[in-house]
Amino acid sequence: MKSFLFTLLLFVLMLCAVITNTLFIDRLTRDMLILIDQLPGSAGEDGMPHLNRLDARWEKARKWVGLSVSSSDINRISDELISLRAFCKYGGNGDYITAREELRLAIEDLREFEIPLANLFFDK
Amino acid sequence: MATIFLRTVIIYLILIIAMRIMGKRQIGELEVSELIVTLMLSELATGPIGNRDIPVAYAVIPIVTVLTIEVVTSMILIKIPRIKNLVSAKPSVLICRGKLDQRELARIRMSIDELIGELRRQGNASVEEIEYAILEQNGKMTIIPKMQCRQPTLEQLGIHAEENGMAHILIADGYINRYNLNGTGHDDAWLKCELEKRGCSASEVYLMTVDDSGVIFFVPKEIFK
Repeated sequence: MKSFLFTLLLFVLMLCAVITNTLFIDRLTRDMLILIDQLPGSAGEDGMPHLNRLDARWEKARKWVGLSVSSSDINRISDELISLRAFCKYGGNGDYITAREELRLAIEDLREFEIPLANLFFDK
Repeated sequence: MATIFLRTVIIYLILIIAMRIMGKRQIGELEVSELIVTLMLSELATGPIGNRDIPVAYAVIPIVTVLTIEVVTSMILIKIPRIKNLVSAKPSVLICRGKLDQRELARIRMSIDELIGELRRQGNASVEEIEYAILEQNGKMTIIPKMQCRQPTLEQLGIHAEENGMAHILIADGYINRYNLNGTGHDDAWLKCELEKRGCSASEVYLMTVDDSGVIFFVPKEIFK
């Protein structure tokens, strides 16, 4: 009976961790997508303050995201942020917009709050 | 994470169904659910160890989920035995009152050669000697010979023998087993007294056991040069 209760406790703790983590990632992605929407439509120094905020939000959450997200997914977002910063400062509008959309896609891939049936059988 | 949790539940259920269809001949000594848990846990645990890209949570969540399912399932099976037949197989009676059950042999896909081989392995020369042969839930065969083929017991031979139970290890390779020492109703003072009688300390003993009737078996450590 002790092991049964212990297992149940472990399971409840795990469920709490899963739910907390899912909500945390959902909030993070939502915040980041809002910040991406606030980025200017064209490359230039105007976008740098927005990019700094985006960077700060990501760096603050990054170590916690690492608990449940593979390092390749995390590195992908970090790399996209670096590319976006470079294209915003030095690149043309086309590269900047592409980099912004790539970053948006990478962040959207983090979301698992809604569980589409396909996610259960295929890797994202 | 929620996806991994649901994937684990789905894979567990699929494995249960698959192993149940395969039957108990596939499982050796473990029951169906135990075998599945063993296979799943070993596979789940190796993922994050072999691949640093996979977070540890990817193993922890499925393992805790499988563990919970297994514990809850076994708890339910104890409370509601009727469900047990759905998860684990029933014992198959292959020889009943000396008669071979060919239908049951065919159902579990066991040939007569395999059955006779199992009888031989357990020291029985022919099917005629067997009263009951039962393939248990864990895949092991229980064989009960006919009365005239069984070995006589001391009681049947009219010989009186004292019950001496089993031997409990008190010292193994110089280390005292306090659980057994207390469990057999002895204490450190008694052990020290017994060791003094034999002229050595606990660290110089390779094996010391005591059975339920109090008989001590003693092997001192050999000194290798």
